[in-house]
Amino acid sequence: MTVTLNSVSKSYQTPAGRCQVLRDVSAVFQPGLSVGILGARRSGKSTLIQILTGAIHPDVGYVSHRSLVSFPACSGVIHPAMTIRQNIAFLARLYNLDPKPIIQFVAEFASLGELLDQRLKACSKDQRSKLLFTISYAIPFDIYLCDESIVGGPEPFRSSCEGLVQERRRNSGLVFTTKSPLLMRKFADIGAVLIGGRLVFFPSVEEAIVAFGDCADVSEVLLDTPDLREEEPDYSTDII
Amino acid sequence: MNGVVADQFRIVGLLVARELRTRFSDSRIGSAMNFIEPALQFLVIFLIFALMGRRSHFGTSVFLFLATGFVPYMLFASISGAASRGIRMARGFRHIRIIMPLHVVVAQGMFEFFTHLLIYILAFFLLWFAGISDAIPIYPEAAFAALAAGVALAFGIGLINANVTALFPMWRIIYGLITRFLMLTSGVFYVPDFLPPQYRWYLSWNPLLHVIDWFRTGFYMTYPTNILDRSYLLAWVAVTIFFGLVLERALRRRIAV
Repeated sequence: MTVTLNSVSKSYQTPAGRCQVLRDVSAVFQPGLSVGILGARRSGKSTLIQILTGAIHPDVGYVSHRSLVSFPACSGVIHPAMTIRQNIAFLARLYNLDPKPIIQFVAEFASLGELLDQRLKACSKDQRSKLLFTISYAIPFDIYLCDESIVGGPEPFRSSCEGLVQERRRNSGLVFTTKSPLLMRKFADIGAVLIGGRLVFFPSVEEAIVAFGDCADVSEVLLDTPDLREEEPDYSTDII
Repeated sequence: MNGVVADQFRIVGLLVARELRTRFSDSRIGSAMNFIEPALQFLVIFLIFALMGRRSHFGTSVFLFLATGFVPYMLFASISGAASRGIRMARGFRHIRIIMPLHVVVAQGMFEFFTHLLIYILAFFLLWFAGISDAIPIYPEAAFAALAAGVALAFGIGLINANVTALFPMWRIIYGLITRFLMLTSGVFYVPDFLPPQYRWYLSWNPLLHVIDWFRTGFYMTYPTNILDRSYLLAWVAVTIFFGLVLERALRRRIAV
């Protein structure tokens, strides 16, 4: 029940030449263990998560999936032409689950009410993020993946979503990338730092935070941590 | 192992159902056009033949003769065309790990297959109802085997198209032109065996021509089949599917960026 990265490397062609994003990264992620990955801006955090979701194939090395990985919160998994109920049912059936309890859970947790039989465009921005975060945690995955945003939406949803993630963490794995030591302390069991294309693991979260503080641009970390809601990606653009 | 196979069927089935739901809710006119366009195309061809006062190249009904060429042709063209969208469309599912590009390609083709087959079976029943007794195949197994080979060929070509389209989006337009050209060279309008030998030799390389020839043997007792080479057609099916799968594997690193 693990996801394994075997000497994975990935580079991109940029106008300035080839840019090596990941170099020979090997790691094992397993259920029941939360791994927080610290990385500065443009250090390859998103690439790493996308390799884990299968959106990107590595140039060298391979990823072996022996467990069900989630779609990262807020990625474009909602089809705008289907109602929210139909979208949740599609996702549930995709993982061979009975859609009914999952629809009910999402409707209650994200307090959708009448919106359940509407399309995504009928939702306000807050409703939308509530819905998208809930959907990604509604399905019982072995390992949940998050790129920057673990929870979101307005209070008090945000707090209850945090509770949901903590509950999921007990039985499933969580792999997330962040720049924030705060999130690391809250959600990670062990820490890793992504620097220079390499993923360095630390036995404890605090050691990872210290190591990251030493090597990263400190001002950037300080600037980026206070308001985590800024980190939420724009999910309106991603349309299936 | 059984569960793995069942998973694949479930995922493709869900994608087909999703296509049905989304395509029909986007715009009703658009989805109706999906069926109206081939019907109109066929009517225009038929009208031209009727106005020219052309007798059927074979059999008693010119309508049936054209239909037995047009149906396999359209089935092939629509499936291979729709499948070309697959890999590009799969980008929309890139965050969902268990949906692979191949699922989307197959689902796109399947959707087209089901909707078209439904219409064509209906059309042949209508022809039969209108008094053309030949519209029910005398050798149904030959007709269905030919269609199956044509559909398999369409998936093979469609899979190759999907890879090429993912790299060069222009390819879909070029392929559209190629399929129009195929309509003229696949024996939709004529019996290939009645052509002069030198043309016949060139046309015999076209695998779709063999599909149509084979399909017609299901309807006409005495249809001439000197040109028909089933093993040549089946070799095309095997090679295109194999090559399409190899391409998908080889190009996925480049396409997925």
